[in-house]
Amino acid sequence: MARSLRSLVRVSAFMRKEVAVMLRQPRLVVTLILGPFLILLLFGLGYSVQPFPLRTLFVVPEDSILRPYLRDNAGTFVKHVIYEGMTSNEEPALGRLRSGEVDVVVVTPHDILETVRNSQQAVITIYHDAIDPIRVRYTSSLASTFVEQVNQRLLQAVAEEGKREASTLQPGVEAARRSTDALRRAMESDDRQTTQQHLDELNDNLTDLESALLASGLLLGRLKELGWQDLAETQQHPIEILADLLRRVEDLRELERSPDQAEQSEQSDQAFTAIDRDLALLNSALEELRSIDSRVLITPFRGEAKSIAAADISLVDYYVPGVIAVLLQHLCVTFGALSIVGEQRSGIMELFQASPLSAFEVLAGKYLSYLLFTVVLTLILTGLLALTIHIPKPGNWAHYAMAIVALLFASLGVGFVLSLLAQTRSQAAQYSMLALLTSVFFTGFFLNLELLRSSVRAISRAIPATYAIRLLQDIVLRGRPINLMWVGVLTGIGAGLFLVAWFLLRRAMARI
Amino acid sequence: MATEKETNGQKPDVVETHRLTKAFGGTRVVEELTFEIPGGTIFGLIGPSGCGKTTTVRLLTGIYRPTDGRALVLGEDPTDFSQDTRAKIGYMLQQSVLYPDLTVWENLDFATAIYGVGPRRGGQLRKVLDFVELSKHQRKPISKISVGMQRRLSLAVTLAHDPELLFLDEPTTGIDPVLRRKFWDHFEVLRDEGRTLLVTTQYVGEAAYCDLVAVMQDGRLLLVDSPEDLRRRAFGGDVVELETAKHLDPDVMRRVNELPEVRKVRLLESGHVRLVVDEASTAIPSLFLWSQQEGVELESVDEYLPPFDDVFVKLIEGQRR
Repeated sequence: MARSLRSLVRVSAFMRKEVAVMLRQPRLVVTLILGPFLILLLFGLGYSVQPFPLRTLFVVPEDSILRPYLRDNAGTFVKHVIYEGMTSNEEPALGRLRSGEVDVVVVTPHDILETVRNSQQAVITIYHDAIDPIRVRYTSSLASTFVEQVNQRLLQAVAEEGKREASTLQPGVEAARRSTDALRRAMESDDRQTTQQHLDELNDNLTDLESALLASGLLLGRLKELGWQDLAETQQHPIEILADLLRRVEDLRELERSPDQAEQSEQSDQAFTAIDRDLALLNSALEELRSIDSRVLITPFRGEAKSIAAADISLVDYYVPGVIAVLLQHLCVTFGALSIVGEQRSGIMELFQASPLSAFEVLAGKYLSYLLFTVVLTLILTGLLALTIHIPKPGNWAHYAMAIVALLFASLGVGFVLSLLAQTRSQAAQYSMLALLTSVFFTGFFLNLELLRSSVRAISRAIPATYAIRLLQDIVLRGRPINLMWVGVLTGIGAGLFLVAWFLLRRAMARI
Repeated sequence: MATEKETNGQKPDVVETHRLTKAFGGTRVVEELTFEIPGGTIFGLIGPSGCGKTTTVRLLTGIYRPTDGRALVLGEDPTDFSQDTRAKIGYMLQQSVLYPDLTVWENLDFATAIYGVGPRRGGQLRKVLDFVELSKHQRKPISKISVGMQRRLSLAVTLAHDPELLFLDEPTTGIDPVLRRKFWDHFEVLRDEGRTLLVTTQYVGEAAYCDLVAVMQDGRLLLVDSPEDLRRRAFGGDVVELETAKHLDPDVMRRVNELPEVRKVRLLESGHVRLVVDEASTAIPSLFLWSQQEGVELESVDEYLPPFDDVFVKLIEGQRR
């Protein structure tokens, strides 16, 4: 028989032996298939995507302006805030927080108006008793939303008030218009005394309008901040229009004193046209101000995130590719880790040393058998998941298979290297568990890799599951074609580990 | 080219060693072994536990690299065996190295396949299983068969690829005397088929089944000889036991000792004497004649084969002196 054929026989001997050894352990096979499946099933069925509600108690001073407001609205401000009551005494409220009766205590300050008048923000303190960093963040985020809502509601109330005041200004505009007409007639008839009287009247009308507008300063300030010119059709802020009008009245007063009749006539016509236009603009600006929704006025922008991903991804769907990648990696690492060390411990390696077997043949046989076995496991696991918790189907099954095989190849390499470094089976099992823990924390399985320092991210780059999670998320969740670069990296890691394992096995089988 | 032995009609040596030495960290475990194993023989390597038998086997199978000296096995240096030469060697380890989850048949099939024996090996496997009388148990997993069966399977595993040269490291350790005897019957069959066997054992009595016996102690080879010659060396000749009907008086004892065939006389009890003679076959008729001449009434005169335990002790003591 040809030498290459004999080599093939030796490799196939390992394939058959390894598969037979695994199949002889039906409990192991069932555990390997059902274990990961049940974990995913329980996760899928049991994980609630609803954020947890917070039982909230308010501490508000008796004389606070917020008291009636919060009593009526606090429970509806923010979703997931459960209104647990209101008190003016902080200590008992904190006692209830410590005893776990409530989740959050919101304490509003004394003298809110005084603080604001002194150009300082009034601080609303939110106490909680959470130690879980995720819950702490959640509570802080909810607190920020709550305070923002309070601010918005207050601003909205002020805006409503401003609008009400703005509606009372329109008669003033009408009075100014009438004064303007009377003034024009007086100037045409050259009645200096009446002209002077109407000039003063128009000036008073406009000054009253300016005072009234400035009185609703908060609203005007907000309008200025938002850029009224861009927001409104009038392109000019009401205060600016009024300033223009007052300037024109002063111009008319100067013109009235001019000896040149011809110049006086021509320039007063232009001034009256400008005053008519400005009054019309002012009227329309006030009209617009009244018509804009107060809520829009104070929060003109609303964020809306839209995904361009192919499918609607639930939280469970999102974790499925990661769980598959980490579980398959762990299976392969464990198989590999226990495989060679077991043979070294049993003494069978000595038999291999005396036989015509080469380290390459041993390793090739083991790789092929475990690849075959884990591919079948993956098929069954994927089928079960698709049928039960309806995970999204990969856009391209061939790409899915390619990513899985690359992951299995690289992970087996990790297992075999660990197996050749371990002295005992229990040591190999410990290495395998360490590899699993490393994968959980450093592959982006549940913590985003961007959160890791770049130096620590180097560890992530050495773990097969890091690439496999991304590959599977793209293929399964986004429906994208396979990223060949990542497959290349994964295969490269696998090939590198194969060479390391080969070197170590050659050393283990070498003559001493 | 024919070797000297081949020209003399003898089988050529399958194993040759010259001052073969192995040390671990400065401690010499095997020291300057020089011996030859002719083809078609059972070569017994006998010695107490830890005397270097397994190390010697590992040196000859190429698992260990010698610190000094050299070995030639099937004409090649074991550290540089070709795959073809390795396929001609069978190695049975001291402990059973079988996969407990696999059946008898699967273990045998795996062990044969790693020697590159092709897929049509079923007939050969059945033959070997018949030889070790395990055919009825071929479907049983290893965890379900007895230790004795496991040892028999280990022997089958060693034989399944039809090797020319067998290294059997303490194959009979831990098994009952009946099975031990069976093993040696198997070895004789294999030897008669033309195979060469190197068998290590700490059961000194098993030396009797070997064609050649090498006695080892503390990593050194004390002597290599046939079992009969070893016995003769240990006692200084053949041993004959003589029993008389009456008590032998000192005068008679002296006259027996004066016989030319007799080297040594030892009184075991009244009327029971053990003699060391040159050749038992010539000494026994002379003793009959002497008893008639002396008027000593004999009850029996027989060659006595001392157990190899005694032979071994005598040889070790002799070497120490």
